[in-house]
This record gives sequence, C-alpha cells and structure tokens, in this order.
Amino acid sequence: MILDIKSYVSYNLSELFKRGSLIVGVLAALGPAILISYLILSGTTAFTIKHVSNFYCMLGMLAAVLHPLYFVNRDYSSKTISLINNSKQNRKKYVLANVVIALCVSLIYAALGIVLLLVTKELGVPGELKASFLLGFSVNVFLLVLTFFLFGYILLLYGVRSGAVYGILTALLLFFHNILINVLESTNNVFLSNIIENFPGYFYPVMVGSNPLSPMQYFIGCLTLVVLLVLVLKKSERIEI
Amino acid sequence: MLINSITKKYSGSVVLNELSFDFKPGEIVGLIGNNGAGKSTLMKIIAQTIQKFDGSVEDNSHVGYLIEEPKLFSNKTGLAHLSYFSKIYGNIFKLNEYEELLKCLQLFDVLNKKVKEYSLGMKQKLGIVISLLNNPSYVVLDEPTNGMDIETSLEVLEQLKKMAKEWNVGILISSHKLEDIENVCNRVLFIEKGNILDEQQFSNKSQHILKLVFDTPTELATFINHQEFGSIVHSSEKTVEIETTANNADVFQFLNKLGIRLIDFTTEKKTLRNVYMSKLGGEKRDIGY
Repeated sequence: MILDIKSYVSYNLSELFKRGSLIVGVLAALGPAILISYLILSGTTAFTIKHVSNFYCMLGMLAAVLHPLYFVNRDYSSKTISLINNSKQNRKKYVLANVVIALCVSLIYAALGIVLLLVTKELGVPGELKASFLLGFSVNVFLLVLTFFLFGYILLLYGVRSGAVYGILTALLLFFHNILINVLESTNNVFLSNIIENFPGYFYPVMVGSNPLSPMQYFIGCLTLVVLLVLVLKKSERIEI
Repeated sequence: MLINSITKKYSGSVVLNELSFDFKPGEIVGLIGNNGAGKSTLMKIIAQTIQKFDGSVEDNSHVGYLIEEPKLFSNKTGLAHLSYFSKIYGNIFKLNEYEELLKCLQLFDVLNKKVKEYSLGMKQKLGIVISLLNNPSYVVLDEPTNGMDIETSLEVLEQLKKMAKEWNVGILISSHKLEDIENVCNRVLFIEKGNILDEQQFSNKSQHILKLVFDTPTELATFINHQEFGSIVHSSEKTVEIETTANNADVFQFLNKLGIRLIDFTTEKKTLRNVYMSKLGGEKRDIGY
C-alpha cells in the first residue's frame, strides 16, 4: 500500500479549513496588521507599509508554522503514524506530504499578506511597495515556514513533547530575536555581529516582513532547509513506534 | 508470504533468532507464545513498521495490521477513520462493501460516533476493519479480541474466518486466548524466546494424543519400529506419546499382534491447551483461561 501524497495533502488541508484553525491563524495574522493600518490611516502613528507587513508576520508566521506541525503531532501522539510508516517509501512520502502541506500553508499566508499590503497601500498607507519587496516577502515566508516547520518536526521525532515544541517555536518566532537584536546593538565585535546576522533564528523573524534577505542569508537559509529536511527524512526512516 | 531467517536485536539482546516460516493467502496462522516471546516484534517486522532487522520478508507490500492497541484519532468518528485510511492510500471507502462486516461487528450503527466514546472492544473492532481496508493480501492481528466479551470474540473470529476465505486474505493472528486460536487457525506456531519451537496443524479435529507405557524399553522400541499410527510427540525410557487419528481398538489389536503388554494407556483429545502445556508449559500465568 502506497501513501498517496495528493490525497493526504488534500484531505488534511481541507481539515485545516473545516476545523477552523486556518481561519483563526489568518485572523491572528490580519488582526494586528489591520489595526496598525487603521492607526496609520487615521494619522495616529507615522508607521509605513513595512510596519503593516511586520505586524502581519508577527503572529502570522507562528500560525503558519504551527498549522502543518499539527498533523505531524497528531499522528505521532495518537500513534496512528504506525498505520502510515509501513514501508521505507511511505515514511519518505509522509515527510514529503507534510512538507507539501507546509508549502501550501506558506503560499496561503504569502498570498494573503500580499493582498493585505496591496489593499492597505491602495487605501493610502505610505511607503514604497516594489515588486522586489513583494517577491522577497513571498520567498521569506516560504523559507521561514518550511525551516521552522522542519525544526519543530525534528524535535517531535526526537520525542520532545508537543507543548514544549510549540513553546520553543513561539519563543523563537516572537521573542528570541529581540534578545539577539539587543546583543547586536550592544556589541562592537564584528565577528559576533556577522554570526548573529547570518543566523536563521535571527534573520528570518526579523527580516521576513521587512526586506529581502542578503545573498549570504539566502544561501544559509537554503542550506539550513536542506540539512533539516535530510535530518527529518533520516530520522523518519529509522523511527519505531 | 515468506519470512526468511529474521533476527532482531534490541541493545544486544536477541528478540527474534533466525526465525523462518511462510503462509499463504486464505490461510489463518496462529502465533502462540509467552509474553516477551517476540510475537509483536515479528508482526511489526511483517507490517514493516520496524525496518531494521536481519533477514528478509517476501511479499509483504500489501499488509493490513492491528498490532498492540488500536491506533485511532479520539476526535474522529469511526466512519471518518475508514474514509481517511482509505483515501490516503488513494482509495475511496465504499460503505456498502463493508456494510455486512460492520453490521456483524456491531459497528455500523456507531460509525458516526467519535472514537473517544467507543469501548475498548469497539476500538479493537474498528482497528480490525481498518486493517482490512485497501484490499490487503495479508492481515496481521495482535490480540484482536482484547477487551471483547466471549460472544463478541466468537463473532469477530467467525468474520475473520469468512474474510480469509471469501477475500482470500492470509491472516496471522496472535492471542493469549488459546480457544480463539484453536477455533480459527489452520496452523499454529509456538514461539519462545524468538525461536519457533513447534508448528501444529489443526485441520483434523479428530486428532488425539495416545500415551502408552510399556513394561520394558525393548517392547517400546519394538512398538516404535513397527507402528504407523502417527507421529511420535514424545518418548522416554518406557513411555511414548503419539499424535494420531486411529481409534483405541486398532492400537490394542496391533499390540496383541506384536505380543506386547501395556502397563498403562491414556488417550487425550489434541487441544491447543494441552499442546501448549507440553510445549510452553510452566508460564501458566500468561494464559487467559
């Protein structure tokens, strides 16, 4: 029996809609962004379109990472994964199917973000909205979601409890980079600054809604993604439930 | 399916030791052994949920299974499970194909209830139906009647018998309820410490064990050399146990012809319980009778 990636993805994506968690995630992403847009348009703050995109990404990226991780956590915690992990091929296909779900979710969040930015720009929010920025934004969302999803996945495979995994991801996406920003601002050490600036745990949450990444950051980001994917595949190949 | 010289070790200790056997579609094979004998590990290897082992299993690409406890989503309904585990393997669940089975297992009317409302027995039954989805060639069932009352167990076993025959599915089944295995299996494998200790056919219901005690070892040897009643299960200095379908009168007639006098004679119906006790006795506590 061979796992059908298309069927697995379509069934679980539709469940994401039906359960309402995608709606909740999208609302959590849009809420702060719409609020800040309102404040900008009403003249209360001097923020720009990039602030709107940053506020969108603040909770949006966390939601986008947690959506696909829900299925992995569900299957491992209920042990129903043992009904899928029944051949080398299916183990690999299961990982790839969940990566496809993460990819679809990232595309949904990227598309909604772009629509939000275009609408708010149209409504009069100041700031430049170039195609290169929108492209960079989409690629950043895609890379961030996949990277943090795979990071959470590997933690689950190593038996870290789901609550702890969600806690770690929340800390990484919402708080940890602020500590790194403070370190960056207070250090004169160029080497340390370079390391922090090229660390995915820093540049993804900080830059995702602000700017396209540097070529070095894209290189490191892609490399990290490949390493995490290989680790997840290797661990999935061996895991016994 | 051919299970060929399987060895599985967990941190140095051998769980399965060069274990080999085969079984065919339509056949029901029982697996009996004490706790820790390696039954579940063997089943997991056949179902491919364990990938790392020595040896090989041929023709196990289409195996349904229920190993240890049923693995279910507590918040999904029974029907959602059947639909999900069909769909992800590229099939569409057709309720009418499974209606008879579901009705016999008394699951049909509760299909729209969430699994968290099911009893252990109902979960087991749903797990069995899931194992039969997607037209498997073989099904591996580990303690499938766990949590079921006697009547339900018998119904489930009858259904399995029917499925094996009608759908031409090979079933490997383990149970601590020896009567379950005896009722449903064509063949039984006794497994102990990762080895197959013995294999018994249970197709001939009139088989029994004759225990003959002779006056001298010479008479015993004469009898063994000339008898054609059946296979010798056990023999000692003056005693022999034979598995046979012959009636007692024929045996006595044969002994008279040879001029041999018996000291003692007993006959016992061949049941899985007495075979089990002679093969794996000693750990009676594991058996649920």
